[in-house]
Amino acid sequence: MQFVDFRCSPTPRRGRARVLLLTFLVAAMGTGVVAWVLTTMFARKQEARVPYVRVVDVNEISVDPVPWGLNWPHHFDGWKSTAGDKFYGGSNAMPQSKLEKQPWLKRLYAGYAFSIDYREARGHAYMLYDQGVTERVTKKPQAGACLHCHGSTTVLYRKVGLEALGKDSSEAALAADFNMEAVQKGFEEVSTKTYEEVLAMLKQMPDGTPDENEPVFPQAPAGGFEGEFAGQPVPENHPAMGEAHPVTCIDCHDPKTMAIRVTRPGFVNAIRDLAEGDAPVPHLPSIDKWRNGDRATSYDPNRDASRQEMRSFVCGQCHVEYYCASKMTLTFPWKNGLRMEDLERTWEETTFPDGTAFADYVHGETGAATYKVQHPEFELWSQGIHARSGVSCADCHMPYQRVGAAKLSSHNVRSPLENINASCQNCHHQSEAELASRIETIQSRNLALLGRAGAAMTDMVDAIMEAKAAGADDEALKDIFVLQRKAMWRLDYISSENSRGFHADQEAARILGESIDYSRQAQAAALRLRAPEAPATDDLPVEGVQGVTTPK
Amino acid sequence: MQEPYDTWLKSSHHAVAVCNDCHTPHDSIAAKYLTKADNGFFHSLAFTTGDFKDPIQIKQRNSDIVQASCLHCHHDLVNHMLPVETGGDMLRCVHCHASVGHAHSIAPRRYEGY
Repeated sequence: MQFVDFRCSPTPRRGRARVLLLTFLVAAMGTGVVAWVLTTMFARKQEARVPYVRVVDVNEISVDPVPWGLNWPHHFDGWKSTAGDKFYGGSNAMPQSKLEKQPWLKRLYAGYAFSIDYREARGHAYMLYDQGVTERVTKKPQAGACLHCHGSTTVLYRKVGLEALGKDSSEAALAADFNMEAVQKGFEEVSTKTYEEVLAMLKQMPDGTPDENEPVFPQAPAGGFEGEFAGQPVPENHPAMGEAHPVTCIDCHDPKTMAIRVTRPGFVNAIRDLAEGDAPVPHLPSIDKWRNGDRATSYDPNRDASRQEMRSFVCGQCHVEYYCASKMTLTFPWKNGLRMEDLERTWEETTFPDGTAFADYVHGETGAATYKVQHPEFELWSQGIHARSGVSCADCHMPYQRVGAAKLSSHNVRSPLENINASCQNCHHQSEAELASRIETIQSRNLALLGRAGAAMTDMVDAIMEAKAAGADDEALKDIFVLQRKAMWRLDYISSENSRGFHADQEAARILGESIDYSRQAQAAALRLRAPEAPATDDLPVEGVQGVTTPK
Repeated sequence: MQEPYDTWLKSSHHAVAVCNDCHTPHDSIAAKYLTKADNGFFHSLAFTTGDFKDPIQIKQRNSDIVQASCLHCHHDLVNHMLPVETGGDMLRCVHCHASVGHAHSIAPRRYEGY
């Protein structure tokens, strides 16, 4: 007889069901994980093979970056990231005033618009906004040449240029071809106009998105924070209406091939002048190659430069020293070379078209004609060890990054300190903390020396003012004014340069050392103008040589 | 690992050593496969999640393996430079000989003139 235990029979069955369910769940999860890994692998391989898909067409009129962003979303995201986590507009969001942080800057820029409003820089996203609201522009008339760099101006220059040359300037013609000659012509035509005029023209230019008038980043309120329309909507028919863009994709990329290119006439002219001169440029081998060639055509960076050089040249279109007011067209002083003295010599040799000697401003306190340094990052980098080793701007400021399996250069252009791993550790195999501390060392030394140079400059200005009060006229002060200009040029060169001495630390220290020397020379000379005649020193006793044993 | 592979092809060691000659231990087959499993898993994890340093950084354990591998072949040549006691402090061979295996640097190389 078979014994059936009714109490136990459900248990093994239920147990089997549990095991079965568990097996099923584990298998389902396992399959899910494997499927996920396989799909990611496939996606990664696909990304590596096809880095981008061109879903819309862009051409030479596509100033608006939004269509480009559809094709190259990662690059576009990077570009937008230069705003930070979001765009911070309004007067409360403005960065710290440098004038408050370093009060000697007010003495340096006395009589010049920089003494009104001068702040820490922000990312590329803010270039047009911040220019529109700075009191240098809203309170003082400025030249339209300022937009050469702060706005995306190639289509504007080209359209004005084509009109001036009497050629077809329709949208179709503008979209078809770049035409550097027309850009050059338009740049010259526009450079005589005021900032407001050129900005209004820029806003009216076709940008490739005719049905849309909303820029990626907010535009500056017309007239700044205290202007005509502060806090109020601008009427529809106002010339300030329309869409203007800060520097966008088209300014550095060829829309057909995506190759990087330079578009700014200021740079194209200056690098041509540099090549035609004989200043050594060991970090730019293509210039040497051109100089050794037949020189049948002028040096053209878009044709002659290597890709590695172009990765610096695109930045050198704006991050340089230049003259950009209204007395002559925008000029970079590179014909004598890229060192600080070379730039200074170029300005000393320059006269304005009206025949007067070149000067940026007359110093408000002493009356000396002085030069304003803009932000010579490209020039200072050119003197440093990184340039000499073939490292471009983009290698550190736009380091390669991986998005999935796609490799691209980061378009969130920023300080390499923000991503030491990607920027520095390709070459420097030390820890991030060690590298950060090296940079900190360089920059804090530079800051300390800069403070000393600022103090020396202040003492110099005081001494010159005292000499003037004591009756010294401009004729008596002539040589002192030259010393003042040289001291201020050197101080401003490192103070305005945005790397805090890092781009070429030894060179920065040398320049500041010279600044201190010229300031003190000028101070001593100014003091001598009102000091009594120095007495003769011949009769003063002089101690003989000591410490030598007299032979017995 | 495309860049390390590409640069290994051009390196001085490509004719005498492959990846595993330097990056896995020579002590035992078990240690070798443990290292393979360890790195295989963490490399897959890193690449799948995308969460890794780039340029990549070697872990201490792997760095020790590389050092031991250098000595596996070159011990007789450098024995006078080794620490007196086993495990004593010493500079890694690749501290100076950084590119003998592979350069793994996308750093630009300066063009030395035309």
